[in-house]
Amino acid sequence: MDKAYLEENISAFLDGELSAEEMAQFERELKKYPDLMEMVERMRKLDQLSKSTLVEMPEDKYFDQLARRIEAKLPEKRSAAEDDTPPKRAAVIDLLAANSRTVKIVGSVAAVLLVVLIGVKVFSPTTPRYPHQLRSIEVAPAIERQKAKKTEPAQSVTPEPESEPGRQVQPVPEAEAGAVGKSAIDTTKQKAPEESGATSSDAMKNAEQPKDQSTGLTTKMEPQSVIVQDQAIKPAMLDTSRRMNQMNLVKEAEPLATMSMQELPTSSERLPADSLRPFAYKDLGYSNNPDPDVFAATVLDSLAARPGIDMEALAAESMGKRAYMNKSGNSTSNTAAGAAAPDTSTINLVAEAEYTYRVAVSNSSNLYDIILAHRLAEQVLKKRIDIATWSKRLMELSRLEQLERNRFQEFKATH
Amino acid sequence: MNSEDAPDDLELIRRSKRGERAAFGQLVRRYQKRIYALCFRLGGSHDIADDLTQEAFIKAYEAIESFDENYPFYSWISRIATNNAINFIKRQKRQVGGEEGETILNTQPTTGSGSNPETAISQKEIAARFQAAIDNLAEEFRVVFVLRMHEELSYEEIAARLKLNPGTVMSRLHRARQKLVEELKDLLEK
Repeated sequence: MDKAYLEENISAFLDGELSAEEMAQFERELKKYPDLMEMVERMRKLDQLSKSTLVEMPEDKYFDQLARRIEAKLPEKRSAAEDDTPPKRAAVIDLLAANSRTVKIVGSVAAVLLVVLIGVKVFSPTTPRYPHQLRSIEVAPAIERQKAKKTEPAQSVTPEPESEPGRQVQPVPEAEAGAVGKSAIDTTKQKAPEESGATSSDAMKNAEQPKDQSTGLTTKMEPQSVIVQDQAIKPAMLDTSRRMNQMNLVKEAEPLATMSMQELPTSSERLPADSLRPFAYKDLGYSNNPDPDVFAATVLDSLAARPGIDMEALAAESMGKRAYMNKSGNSTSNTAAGAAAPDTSTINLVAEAEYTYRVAVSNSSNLYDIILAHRLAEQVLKKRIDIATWSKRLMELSRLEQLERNRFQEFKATH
Repeated sequence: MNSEDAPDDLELIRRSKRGERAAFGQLVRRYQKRIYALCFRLGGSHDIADDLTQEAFIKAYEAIESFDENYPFYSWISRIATNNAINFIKRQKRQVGGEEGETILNTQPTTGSGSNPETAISQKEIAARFQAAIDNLAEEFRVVFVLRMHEELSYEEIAARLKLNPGTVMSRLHRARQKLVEELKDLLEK
């Protein structure tokens, strides 16, 4: 134990966070450095002061009033029975039941709306969720056109999830489509080649390049579930409202994408309007639990307090294996989200964040992955990594994913 | 009500989930002092603690359906209060336009200057100076210190609550202690 190590671990020593053996060794080594011993002594006194200095609490009368004020501000809640049928919806149902003519009118309007919505879905440009998708969307059509030249023209762009071999990502049930944000994936995938006239010469060049061996990510990019248009009447409606939210998210995130490296926030605390929050919250049923603080507390509480769950191990397992251990050979780098791993490359961090996010949003039960992805995204920003680099990498991921999908289509066509 | 007759947390939580505000009111009365103290430590003043305590309980009530009954209520409400306080401090920082690590809540007491160790300092003044020193810590150090010393959470628990590595918790705690020792040097030497 050198002096630097001792100094770094004084707090752990004072808080009894070292093992018994380490404690004994620490104490022995500490005696060699009088200045450190003095520091330990002062910190001990500080801890004593902290414990003996209680918060000066107001009188009980104050707390009576505080409790009353809180109670008075508590919102009225609907009973469980009422919750099954929300009042507004119940009122509409009552109205419809009372008047069959109304049913016809409402039905007609709904049918027209559906047609319009489907039309919007098919013909309007897809609103990208994140800034990087503004560019990544341009890649897919170019690749598709290139592939179309080589293969038969009737080749479908959208794979059918049910028949995908070796598929690992669970498709989101239709009923959950509104609550679970698959948008980061779907908005890109629903973009048919003919929908956009965008061209990307880079993408054309890249399309036939061999897959990126530096990350090995192509092998992990399973084709994702795709909403097939003629089966997507309900999701189309849900998508429309979701897209409205996405537009807001994009607005929030856009400033980050346009910032230069120097302008990037040095800390997540200074991000404009908590721009990264959507990554973690929006797709986690945030609408059911709209306060991010409560939401984070609920999710983390249930994970962290659950016996047998090792948060660090979970993080390492979720985020670390592919990029950190396999590729960098850093078998000891099992810190949460890999953020502290000194030999972890930026590219891997970013790739893992995006990949995990994509997987997580495809699987509504995997809440923790989304939080980890959020944390990684924060780390990326904290480290002042150029957003352009991030976007470039995400574009590359999108391209590789597209190639994988094309390969799958070819496989399907030939088998 | 006799403490033996008092309904336990679980019962109150279930009743709160059914919309019984009075039941939640009992939970408020049961935990408000602890939450208030936590908010005071993090927020730095009674006014702020008052607001943060109210917000925390109201948020908790609004989200009570999502509370997992397998876990202690205090753990949940204190998480909410902590997150709430952190966000408050960040908002405060943005509003003030402060730089990182800059003092946001200037609650330095006007009494009990520590420049003269010979001066007799009352317990109340010591408490005020101690709190002012905590307020002077940057948010990331303050929160870790308070969770460790006030809530007595382990490094792992703090790491989980703040979504940090335990190593980061340790280093922040060390920095917090260093700064506090520096600031309260005269008190600690006595």
